[in-house]
Amino acid sequence: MPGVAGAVAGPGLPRVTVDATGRMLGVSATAQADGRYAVDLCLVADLVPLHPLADRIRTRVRGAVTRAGVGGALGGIDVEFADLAAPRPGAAGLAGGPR
Amino acid sequence: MSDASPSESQSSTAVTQRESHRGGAPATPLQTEQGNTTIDTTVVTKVAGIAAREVRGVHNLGGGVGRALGGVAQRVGVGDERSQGVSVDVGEREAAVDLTVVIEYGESIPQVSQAIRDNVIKRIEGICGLTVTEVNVAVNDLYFPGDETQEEPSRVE
Repeated sequence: MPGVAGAVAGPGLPRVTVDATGRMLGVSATAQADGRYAVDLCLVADLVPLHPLADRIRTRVRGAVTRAGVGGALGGIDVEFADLAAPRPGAAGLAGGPR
Repeated sequence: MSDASPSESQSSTAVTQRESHRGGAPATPLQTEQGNTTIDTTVVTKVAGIAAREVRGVHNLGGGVGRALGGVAQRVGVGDERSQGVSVDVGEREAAVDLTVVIEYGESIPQVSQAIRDNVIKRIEGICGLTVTEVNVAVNDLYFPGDETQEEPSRVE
């Protein structure tokens, strides 16, 4: 999605999910005491406002989980921004800078 | 001219709940009912570096040794120019930034320093949602046009 450049396992506890289709970096789900699952995301972001981006990510994850029919099992969605992506070729830094 | 280091401070306000997170450890969790948002110190460091480089009159960031080591690290693919010369302390909701810069000769150091502060504060607050309490700018060197070290021609073809 716009603003997200990629996902990484992260600097601390690795966020990796392995299933039959392969290894998914930057995502883990943890069972909570109430029976729901907390989702942990570890992402590399573009140079955009990060808190609004985190909210958009949560909305999107909730929508996808609900469409999959397991929305009731979803707990909190923690979003960690571990790094910034290198500027795209030709990008002139942050928009609206003083130069 | 190097190591002049006139350091200026934006504010004497202490960073409340200032926790030292130098070294890339997670910081700034913003807790909501839907989940926590964490912005790692690495991200804040890079935003500050990019913002400082945007300012007219800033030639480079980092001390002489730091720039040399950074250049080597980048050549072998482990360094990142954007965090060179930048050090940040990140708390729950606030950040303090230390910058080491090389300024172009002819530019007003106080004006460039203030422009750096303004831009770093604007960018970190806008992108990371953190209140910036301090931006300390150390001018490490002046850049004169033509200072670039020209690569020596190869002795063999």
